[in-house]
Amino acid sequence: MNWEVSTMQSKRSFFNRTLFRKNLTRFWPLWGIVSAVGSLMPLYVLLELLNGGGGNVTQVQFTELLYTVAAMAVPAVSCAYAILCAMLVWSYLYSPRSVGLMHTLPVDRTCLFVTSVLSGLAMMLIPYAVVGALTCLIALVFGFFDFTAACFTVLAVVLMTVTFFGLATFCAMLTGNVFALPVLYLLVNFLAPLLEALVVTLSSQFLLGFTGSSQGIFDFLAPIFGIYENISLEYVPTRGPAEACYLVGFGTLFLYFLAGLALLGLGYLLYRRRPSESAGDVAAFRGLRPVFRWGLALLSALTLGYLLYELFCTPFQWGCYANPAFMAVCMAITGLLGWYAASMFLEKSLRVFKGSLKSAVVVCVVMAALCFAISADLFGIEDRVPALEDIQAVSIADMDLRATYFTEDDREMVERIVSLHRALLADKEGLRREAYGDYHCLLLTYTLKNGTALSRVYRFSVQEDRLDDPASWSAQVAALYRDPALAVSQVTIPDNGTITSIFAYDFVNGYGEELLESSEAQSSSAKVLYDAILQDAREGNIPGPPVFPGDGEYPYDVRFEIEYRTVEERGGYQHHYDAIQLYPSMEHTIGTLLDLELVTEARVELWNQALVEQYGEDALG
Amino acid sequence: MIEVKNAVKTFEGFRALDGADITVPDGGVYGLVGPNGAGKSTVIRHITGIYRPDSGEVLVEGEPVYENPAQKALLAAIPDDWYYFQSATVADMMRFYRGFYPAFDTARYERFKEVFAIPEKAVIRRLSKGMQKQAAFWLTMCCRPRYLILDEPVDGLDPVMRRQVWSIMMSDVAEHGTTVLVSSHNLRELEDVCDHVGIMNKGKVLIERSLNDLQENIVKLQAVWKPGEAPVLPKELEVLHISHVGRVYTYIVRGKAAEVTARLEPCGPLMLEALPLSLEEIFIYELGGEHYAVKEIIL
Amino acid sequence: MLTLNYRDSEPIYGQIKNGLKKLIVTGALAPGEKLPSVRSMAASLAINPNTIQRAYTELESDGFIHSIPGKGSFAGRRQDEADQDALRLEALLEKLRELVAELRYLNVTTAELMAVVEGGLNQ
Repeated sequence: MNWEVSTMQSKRSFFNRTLFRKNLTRFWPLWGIVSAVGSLMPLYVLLELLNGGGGNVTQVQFTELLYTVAAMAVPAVSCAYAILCAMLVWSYLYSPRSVGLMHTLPVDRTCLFVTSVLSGLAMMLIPYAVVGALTCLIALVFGFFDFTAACFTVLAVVLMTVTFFGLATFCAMLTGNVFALPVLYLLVNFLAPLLEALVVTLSSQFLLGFTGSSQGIFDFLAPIFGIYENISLEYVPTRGPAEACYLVGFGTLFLYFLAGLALLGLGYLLYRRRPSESAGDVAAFRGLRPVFRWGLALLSALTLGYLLYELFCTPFQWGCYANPAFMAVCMAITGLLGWYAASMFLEKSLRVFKGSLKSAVVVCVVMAALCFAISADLFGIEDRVPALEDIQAVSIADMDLRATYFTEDDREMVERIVSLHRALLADKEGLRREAYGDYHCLLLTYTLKNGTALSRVYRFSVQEDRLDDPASWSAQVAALYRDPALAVSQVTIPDNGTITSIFAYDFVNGYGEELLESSEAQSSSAKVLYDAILQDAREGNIPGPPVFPGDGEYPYDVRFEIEYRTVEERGGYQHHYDAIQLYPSMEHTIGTLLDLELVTEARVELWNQALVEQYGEDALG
Repeated sequence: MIEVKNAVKTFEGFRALDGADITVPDGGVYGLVGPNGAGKSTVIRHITGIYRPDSGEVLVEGEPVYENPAQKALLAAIPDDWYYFQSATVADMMRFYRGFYPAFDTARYERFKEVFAIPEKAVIRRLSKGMQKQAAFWLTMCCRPRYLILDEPVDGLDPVMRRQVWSIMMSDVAEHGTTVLVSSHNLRELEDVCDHVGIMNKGKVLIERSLNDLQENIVKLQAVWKPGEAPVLPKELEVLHISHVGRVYTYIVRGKAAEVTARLEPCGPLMLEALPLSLEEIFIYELGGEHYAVKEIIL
Repeated sequence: MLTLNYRDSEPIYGQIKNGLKKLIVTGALAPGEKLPSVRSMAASLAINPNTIQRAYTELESDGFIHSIPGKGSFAGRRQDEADQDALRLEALLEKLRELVAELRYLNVTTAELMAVVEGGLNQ
């Protein structure tokens, strides 16, 4: 054969069939096994149909099945599967031998990139195609196939596939090491919420009142979180047997798809500039090395630093808040550890300490500065108390006291709670000095009109000597807890609610005995009982949470469960449930129980006796 | 023609190529020799388009080869560690190569089956290293390249196979004008096949000349002097090395054999003989001037 | 037909050249007999064809072989060259015969003629 003919390269090719075929045949175990495992689902459906009779499945049920899989399974499966496909398809970049072969072949990187991406996407979609085809076939045979549902499901699958594969490819281009790739992918997938969680946890060790629960503002940067939060099924009508089912959230899916495409584009640009000699290195580009070092140092400081502090420094801390200086030292040490570990990975050697003194100092200073910055409350988190006009509702909870809500209609209570909050903040030093063994753990949760929520938790013991100063938080707590308004709020159901049932259980004999089971039919007795409880609440017969240890009265082991429902905006009902304990002081309730002949005097005597047995003579006081 | 013009490549502070210049003329066999770490494999990877130089040019027929499929199609390379897919057979790799090289000659592939005596269904991973190398040769020769680039090619082949492989390559050179670039330590073998030689050390090409030139311009003289001290040699003679065993002195001198002999005769030796040097010897003595420690080992 | 000694310090092309020369001179390669092509020699000996080509070229310029484009290389001089030499030889010898005849006519003795010839040979 004359080689002069061969040099007539007429057009530039962007795709190489041989490589594409080779990728698919070489990696068939992966997509083969996933297809086989996925096929179990339609197989199961088929068996169920053959057993239970195939005529009973409706199109809507089929739609629901497809959409449920799309909304629940596909995001997680795609996320995990994408990295596996990427690891295989880009594996040639991670060993010098294979890089050598691929880049000696007469193809340019554009062609290699396009072919590899298409190979990867094909590998990702084959199992879905197999499972989908089987499912649709079964549906066609048994007569419940819905073409629209199938189309939308395919669309959702494709969008999510591109999203995650794009992300995986982008990660693949950043590193040269096949083991670093899945770690990087995992990190990038959860980086935003992870960092937020770490910073919040650390902050909660320093900031008075900070609960350490993440807000989830940055969750959208984690595709998995963003997708799961925004994708759902909607039924028409909302209650009762569904006539139609829709998959909601395509907007989100489309946005993530665009992000995936952008990442693919970025990956392509990176690939063009990527030096072949980076095969085997953790960082494929020189500029990424400091990113890796600082990244690992930061993560190490935020996680291990905190751990180190917990292990060694907590005995020395004053109060239940961390000592910034000690924490800074822990963070500096662990940050340095992370830095050197990163250096070892990058240099592929254990000898990285020479000449690193300057960097070591910088790392320590930065980590310490970060620690102090967090502890310094630069954003004024500690002192944040919402303005009264912004508050839609506020709830307080404290040990025995279940979360009790007050909405803005109950202006007085809201004001009192805010005032208590401010009073607590006025005495920061005092609160900080408290050690473990605080009696109270007050959780305040504000729901603001703009939809956000603000939570604070304060631990304290009420100080007896401050009770006569009405401005002090001790006095305010005492006043609040002894206020019948709390009990009233617990008992009262909202205006738009209707009581559906009241149950009463008597546990005194050791087993639950139903005293009253009421449904709508017997609502009159239920209503009377409810009113009696409410009256007891108003009159202050239901004790509030104890202010001092040893306070408080003892309840009978008798419980009321009030179930009521409210009508929701989107239609449908929301069911709620309140539990009220019966106290000896609730004279109206006991009286009503006797009047309605639900209990006898003898039984009440039993209750009293049980109380005395358990708690002593004072219990009845 | 393959040209490397002042190529510089640094890997993490280590200058693997420090202004390397290579010119491989068409239709010949160019031998690239040098000690370990000289940069031979690195420069070969530049020529095959794997690496891109930090500065300088790497050209094949006047065009840069990096990211240039048209030029890469003219080259085929056998690296010192040839890559094959995990469970691939020879036939699998053949189909793979065929999908990339437009000039792939399937007829030749069939003809070579008897020559290489490896069953084409054999899984390459299970073959011995020598047989894997043979398979690499088999497939690479079928790509019908204009330029054949070999990095330590005959390492691991038995003498019969070596001869066979060189025979095929030389036949291609004669018949099709294929250009071969081979890097090796085995200078004795290179001597038979090369017509050009480049000696590399520390990322630079120290000498690049046709083999003729090299051999004609350096001579080994053996002289026996009259009893007494050996005379000091004329200053104009560029003497690379002097050694003696008893009264027999060996001089390695730059210059043509006839001229140098004529220069030395007036010094009155009892015996004077000019001998040609092997490539191995040339290599050693040329590098000896480059602070490459060559210690005389007394066996 | 050639055996090469790879260990010999003499360069390969030298060995080829001398080897072929010997074969031609001893008559093992008869005049007009075709030499192996450069390609087949390169393949069978596994050495550089350029080396072989160089040997052939030098042998040709030394007059041991001649090559005909498109046909190959052959031992001995070219036929027409050989013929030309033969003719020239004939012409020169003829002149000599004529000179001898004329000298004899001028009564130069055989001994004097031989002395002249010997003197010419010794120069």
